[in-house]
Amino acid sequence: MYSVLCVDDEPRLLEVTKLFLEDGGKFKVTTTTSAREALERLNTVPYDAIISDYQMPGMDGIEFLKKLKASGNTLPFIIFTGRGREEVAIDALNNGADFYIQKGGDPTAQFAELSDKIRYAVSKRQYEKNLEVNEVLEKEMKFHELELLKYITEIKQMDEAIHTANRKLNLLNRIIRHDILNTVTGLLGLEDMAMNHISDQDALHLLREIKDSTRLIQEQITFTRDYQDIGLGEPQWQNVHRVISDAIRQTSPGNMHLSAMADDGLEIFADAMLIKVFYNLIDNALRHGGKLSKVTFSSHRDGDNIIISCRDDGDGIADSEKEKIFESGFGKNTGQGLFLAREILNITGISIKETGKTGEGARFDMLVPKEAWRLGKTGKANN
Amino acid sequence: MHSEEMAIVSKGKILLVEDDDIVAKVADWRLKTLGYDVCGRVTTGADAMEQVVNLMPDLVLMDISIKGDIDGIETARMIKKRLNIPIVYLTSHSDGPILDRAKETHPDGFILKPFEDNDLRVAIELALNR
Repeated sequence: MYSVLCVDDEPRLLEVTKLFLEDGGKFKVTTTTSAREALERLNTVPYDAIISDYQMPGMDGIEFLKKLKASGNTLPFIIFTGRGREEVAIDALNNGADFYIQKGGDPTAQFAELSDKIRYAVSKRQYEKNLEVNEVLEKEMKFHELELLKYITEIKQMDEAIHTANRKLNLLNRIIRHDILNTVTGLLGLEDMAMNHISDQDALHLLREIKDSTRLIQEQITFTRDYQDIGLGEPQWQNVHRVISDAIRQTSPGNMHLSAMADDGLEIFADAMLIKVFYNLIDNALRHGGKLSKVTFSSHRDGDNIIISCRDDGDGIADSEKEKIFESGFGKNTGQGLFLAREILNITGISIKETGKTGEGARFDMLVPKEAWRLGKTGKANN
Repeated sequence: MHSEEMAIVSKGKILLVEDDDIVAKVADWRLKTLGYDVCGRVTTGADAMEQVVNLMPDLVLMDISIKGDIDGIETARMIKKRLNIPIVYLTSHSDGPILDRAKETHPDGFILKPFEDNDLRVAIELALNR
């Protein structure tokens, strides 16, 4: 339904126009007999188009049109002119009228033409408006694109700064480690030399303890090398069976039976140091598990998640220590193994906790959320 | 238990390139205890070049980070260019770019610090018997 304002000083003509246009049910026509009155109406009521006669007392159609354009009104404007008044029609078009229609002739044909022109003018205006909106949107998008680019650049710069800082810390780490290991070399040698010169048993006993402490320093400092690259590389999809098998190969199990689960194609998205997690779990079992004969890895579905378990048949973990073992500095040796295992897994949202029963062996469950696991080519996950 | 009296017949002449006094002292002691003759000890690459010609050792035990303008790797490269003397690196660098550079000089052995008698013995024996 188009809402049309029709202006003509002849009330009879207005009546006819209204009748014809409203007949099809597509137009709602409001009539007014003067341009001045029309201007007032336009201030308060919204219309889709204006139809105006040219020749009117007080203000003619062209003046009316000029006033509208001057006030910024962009409604489609169709003007009626008398026959043979082409100069008026041209003047109207030059001033922004959309169409002109010559009075006279067959009313049915004339009003059919009028309704077509109104519809066309309204659609054209709508199209122009959309174009304008699009232009504004495009400008806005360009602006946002630029803002986004700036933002991305900033993030990249920050990322680079972090990487540079990381590299520097790593270098510092390397230098300090080098110097400490040099000192430890000297210390171990001097301890051996002293032991060679001393026969007093108490003094020898003390020297052995000093040497043990020196070796512990060596272990701790070597440990910093193993973990210096944590979080440095991008996380990656890794075949769990393969990583566990590699970790097993790096340990010295003695008579212990170590078994990774079968290769079912399970891959998890984890930090490049994932192997250290499995290595640490095995190493911990071997060091602290007490009387144990095997360490077994397995995996199973838990809803959308996957749980990877590492179980042994050793002494197990006391209830009071189940969380403490993940704290930095807890336990013998470096006291960092499980702390770092949790940190490494945490990088890609994998959690780890100890769920075994004291006295029945330790059990570490790693919960891999659905975004962080997938099945590779080899097969299906265990159920 | 170490015993200096055990070193009667020298198993080989070794030039020690090490700028850390204490490490040099214990390396010297360990080598002698194992039966080697430490024919010289220097702290820079330039001195090493000079002594290698003067002393003609059977093997050079080379620390990588040493005093002076050229490090142990450069010194090793230059020695290998001129003389056919086995070189065993002595280093705390067990990874990273330094180790990669060292590998390029095709050394006859690596000893990681901290080392003890057995580490020295195995690496040196292997290098001397190549």
